[in-house]
Amino acid sequence: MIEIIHVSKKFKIWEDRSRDLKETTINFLRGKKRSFRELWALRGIDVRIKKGETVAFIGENGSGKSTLLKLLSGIYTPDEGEIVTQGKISTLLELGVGFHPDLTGEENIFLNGSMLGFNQREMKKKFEEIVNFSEIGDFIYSPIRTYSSGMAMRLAFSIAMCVDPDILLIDEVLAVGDEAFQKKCLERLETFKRSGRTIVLVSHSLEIVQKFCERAILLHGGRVVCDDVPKKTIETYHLVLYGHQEVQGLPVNFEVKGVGTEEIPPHEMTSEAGAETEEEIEGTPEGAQESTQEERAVSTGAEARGAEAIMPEPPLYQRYGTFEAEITEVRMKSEDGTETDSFLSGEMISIRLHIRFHKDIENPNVGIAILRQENGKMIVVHSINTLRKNMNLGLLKRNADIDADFIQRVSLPEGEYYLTVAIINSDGSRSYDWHDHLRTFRIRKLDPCWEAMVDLNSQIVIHS
Amino acid sequence: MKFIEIFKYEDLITNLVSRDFKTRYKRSYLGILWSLLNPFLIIIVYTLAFDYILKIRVRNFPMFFMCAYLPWSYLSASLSVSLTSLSDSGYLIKAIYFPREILPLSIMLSSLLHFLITFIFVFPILMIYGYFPQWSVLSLPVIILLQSLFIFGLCLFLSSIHVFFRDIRYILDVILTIWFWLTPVVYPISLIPDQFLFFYKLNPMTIFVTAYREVLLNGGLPVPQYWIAIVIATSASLLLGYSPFLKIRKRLAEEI
Repeated sequence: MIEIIHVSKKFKIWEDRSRDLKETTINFLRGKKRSFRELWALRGIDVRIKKGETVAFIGENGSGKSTLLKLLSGIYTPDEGEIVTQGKISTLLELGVGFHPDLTGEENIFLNGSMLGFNQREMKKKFEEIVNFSEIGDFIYSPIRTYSSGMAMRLAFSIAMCVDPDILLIDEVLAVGDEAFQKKCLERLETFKRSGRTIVLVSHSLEIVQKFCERAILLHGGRVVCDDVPKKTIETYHLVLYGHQEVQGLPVNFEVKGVGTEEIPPHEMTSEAGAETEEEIEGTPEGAQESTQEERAVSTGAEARGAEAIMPEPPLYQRYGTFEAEITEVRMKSEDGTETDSFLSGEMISIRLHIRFHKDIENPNVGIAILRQENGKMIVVHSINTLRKNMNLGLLKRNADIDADFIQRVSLPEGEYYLTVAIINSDGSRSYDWHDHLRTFRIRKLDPCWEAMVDLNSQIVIHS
Repeated sequence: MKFIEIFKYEDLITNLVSRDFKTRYKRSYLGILWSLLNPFLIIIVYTLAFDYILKIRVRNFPMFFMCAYLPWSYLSASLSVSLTSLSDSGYLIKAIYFPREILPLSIMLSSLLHFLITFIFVFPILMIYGYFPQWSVLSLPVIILLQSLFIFGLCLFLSSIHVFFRDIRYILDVILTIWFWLTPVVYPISLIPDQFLFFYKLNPMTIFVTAYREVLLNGGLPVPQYWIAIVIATSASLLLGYSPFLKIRKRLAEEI
């Protein structure tokens, strides 16, 4: 059993790595501290892996999956949170690490075994099996330096396969040797799995993940985005990976109205949710929307793209999450109640999120953010959510529907704004549904009674 | 407690020591014999230099020198080899979890093994020279154990520091040379002027070396003050070693 309780891990990235005494002393005397940046590789991970489960962590490079595996094996220690494990863990992060070229295969088997935490007695029992599995034969009594690299790899893999840990951690090492040997390894893992052992693996091979695991967890930016059966997680992974390109590949169709799921082909989504969302799209009175402003915005964006980005590019719509709850519809209404994407500065507007729950969820956090582009960078102008408002939404049952109205005065300067909406769990470790830059809307100034960034609602009093 | 964890890895320690032991003289013709030949040659050189040329007035110089030089070389070999034990094992530390102190520990134990092997020849040679072991020789294991713990503390300290300051390597060479001459290995402690004696005896190796000579040459036990000094030195060394080690242990895999 493995319990990962709200684990975060950060790395220090040294800007000026000085390792010699002279520099350190000089810096110390000058009172200069070594500067570093902090990089959070993992944030608030909560995962429970039951005994006998076969779980894969997937995600892009840098998503934190290997870091997580190293935390599980004890190589790294978490900066926040706790990891509780029960049973003997064997780690297969790098093959053949710790092999000594001058020692024989036999000696290396015992050395490597003890590094994995197995004693001499246990290794003696396994010795035959390891030698047979590796197909190395009499070479086992020769020093490893006489081996071909393939043989050394096979030996390393055989050791890890044949020792009997309760928990096996594997990082990207399944692609070993020829196809026949690979098949043998997978078969071995299969029996291992059937005997009720826990396997946690990190792999880029989605094929292996899908075939071999019963659960897959998608990490993105150091957070758990999806935790489901491999098929669904992989679908979400494709969304995260290619959602990007698909948006770019679209014709000048940046306007995302109503539900904002046009970029996501329905088959890419969870089947049930996909169908529903599609219906919603049909049902949204898109024609009723006033979109002249937006079209203008879109066309400038398109031109910019053609002209090598002289104008700032519009931000890309991205959607990700577990879809255990879905924001199926977003309506923006002006003060007089008409649905529009164009508002007057200082107007009271309401943003309604329609949320559907596919699972019982306890007190989720629903929020919106209003962003704008400033010198090519996205800045958050305003962000608000139910957690910040200290609201508790209580337990929301599966198949429940709620509407969340966000009502605010948009005392914002004239310009183009983007709306991001999201529903996440209460501690922010899990995104149920996150729509980045879902909508573009415009603020017009009718009565220029103030200038620049923010309306501070100033009163001017003259005393004479 | 984390300190007890290393006992679960007893087989790893054994295997690492035997790896070090087997590979240290691998592909050399004389192999393990170098462990014996090396001190033997050094003893001849120092005897020529100090007994015949400089005419230092010590009874039976070769034996006098041997009893101090062997424990000294146990220390210096352990320190210079274990220095890089953490920083050179980045590949291991990043890939497998095991208590990290095992790395310097196994180097020290392997040096201990070499040290103990030399004793097979130390006793016969001593007897040829007319030094027969007395009952006090039974305290030898205790002295060796305490010296080993003392050395382990220093190994832990140096290997931890070396991860961050590679310069330590060059500083260590100098320190070992100075330390060697501040320790009564080639000359008797009686040559030290009285006013410096107190400071001179603050050097733990002075105490250790004197203890070895007392047991092996005089057949007596070190005086109680020496035992107390040895225990204090050993505890201080372990404290010195563990304090930086415990600090960096958690981040070792990232920093290497």
